[in-house]
Amino acid sequence: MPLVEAKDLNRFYDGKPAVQELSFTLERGEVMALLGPNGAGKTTTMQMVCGALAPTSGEIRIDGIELLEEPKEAKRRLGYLPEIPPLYQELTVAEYLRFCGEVHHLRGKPLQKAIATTVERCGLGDVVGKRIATLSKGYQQRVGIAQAILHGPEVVVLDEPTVGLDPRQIEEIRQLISELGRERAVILSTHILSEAQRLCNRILILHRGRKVADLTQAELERLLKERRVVLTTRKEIDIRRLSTVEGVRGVEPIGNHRYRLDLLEEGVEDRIARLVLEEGWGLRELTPERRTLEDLFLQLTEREDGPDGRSG
Amino acid sequence: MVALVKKELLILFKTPFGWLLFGTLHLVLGYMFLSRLALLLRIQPQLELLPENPGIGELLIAPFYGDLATVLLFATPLVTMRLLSEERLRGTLTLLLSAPLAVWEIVLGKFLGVLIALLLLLLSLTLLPLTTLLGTDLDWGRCFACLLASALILALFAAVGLFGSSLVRHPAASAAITLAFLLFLTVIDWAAVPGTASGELLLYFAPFHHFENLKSGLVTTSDLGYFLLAILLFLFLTHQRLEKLRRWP
Repeated sequence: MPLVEAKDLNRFYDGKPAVQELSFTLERGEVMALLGPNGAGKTTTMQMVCGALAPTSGEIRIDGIELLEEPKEAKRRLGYLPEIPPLYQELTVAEYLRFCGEVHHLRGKPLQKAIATTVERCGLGDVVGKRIATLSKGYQQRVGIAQAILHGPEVVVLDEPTVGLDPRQIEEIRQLISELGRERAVILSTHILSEAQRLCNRILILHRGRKVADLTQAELERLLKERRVVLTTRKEIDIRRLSTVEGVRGVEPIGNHRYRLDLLEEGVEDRIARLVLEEGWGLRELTPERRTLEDLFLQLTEREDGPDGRSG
Repeated sequence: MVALVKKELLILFKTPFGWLLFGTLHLVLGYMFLSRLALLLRIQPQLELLPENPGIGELLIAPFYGDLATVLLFATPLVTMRLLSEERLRGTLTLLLSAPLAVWEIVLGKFLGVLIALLLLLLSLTLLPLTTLLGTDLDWGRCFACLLASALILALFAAVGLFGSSLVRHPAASAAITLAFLLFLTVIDWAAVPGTASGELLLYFAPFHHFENLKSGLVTTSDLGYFLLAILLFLFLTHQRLEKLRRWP
């Protein structure tokens, strides 16, 4: 049974759609990145999954439990770090974590133990007795993460967990997320695509409230491995001739004696160069075009824009 | 829910704000009490000439609790203003909404937290009338009636304040709304024409009318029921408001 199951989620604000027809499932051991431009519906989706926001329509199941029908049971299995860490500035870290534990029905020894483990995991040992208001942004962010994992939830949802941290702290938090991902399901949103690529084995790209891609790690790797080269020649070439070269999947003229070629494997470049020389077309340029997650992201989030190509 | 009650009290009494407010209230009410006591001592000789001496309960204790309720009418919004406004402003409401807590638990936890704080204040202020034990006897029945009346009206103020703080994000604005609500409730019977049905109705809505009834030592189910219903009404409204916020933040 999937740990998270979202079905046909819709959410409207004042009649305007923020999330539309969104469905996905998440298994234990999966770390899913929610990607999308600002306003794509990432935060709205996370809030709905955590029960902090009611969807206009749709179903959410956490570990098989209907979130909307049995919210208490479902929410016990959820840990959520919102975009702004929900901290009570007046409390010390210890008081705050105790409160969060108690709210999740932890008492006595188990609570003490949970606090001790979480404090250690999030590197909060030096600041447990300090008031949250006096902590730096990085520490506050870590207290926010501590709050989300304290009660050992099956599903951890983190909205931009590494924002405001310095590079060393980012590394620590990423390690923590990888650890969490081994035994639980993690959903995180981020603007750092390399982070998503490194930490996550699922990538869900949202655009204007709709899902535009839902890729597993293998699918993503295959997409990113797809090789492309741009060929520029001095003279007109025979496209049909070029496409028969072994390993060339497609040739697309892009004007001015320039052609974009999709290749199936490495080493095809040699054969293309040889053909161009043999035919005397005049080789001017043969450049690899690397596909990154950025390219993929831009491509997917532009495609959906209106005919005038302007994004919102 | 207990965790929520504890947190509210912790935040209130960990900050200078809580102590400052409660300290100031003690000073002001202490001054009012002493003034009333001084007046009473000044007119004591004339009072002894009356065939029926109204006594300290009528002349000092009951008016003091009247003062207390009036002062708290203005002070309670300051205590309740942060309850939900600040949670919304700082984004901590998300924490409560995504925790395994029912909305009614959030409402009740917040209400009880602030109610306990107000009752502690009431009890510590009650030390003032108790000092008269040094020189005279107390009408204990009357005292308890005053305490009960005060506790109920404070609970009503707290419930109105909780609702007020659920309406807007800014604590100061929610204090203003609560104060406006409470002042309106206080003067609601000013337009009441005695003997008419509408007059009776307006009188029924006025909390101070029931407060005075109870304070006089006459504990009736009608007055108790009024406070209970009014408190439940405002808690229910807060509940609805929070449910709505979860749908339309």
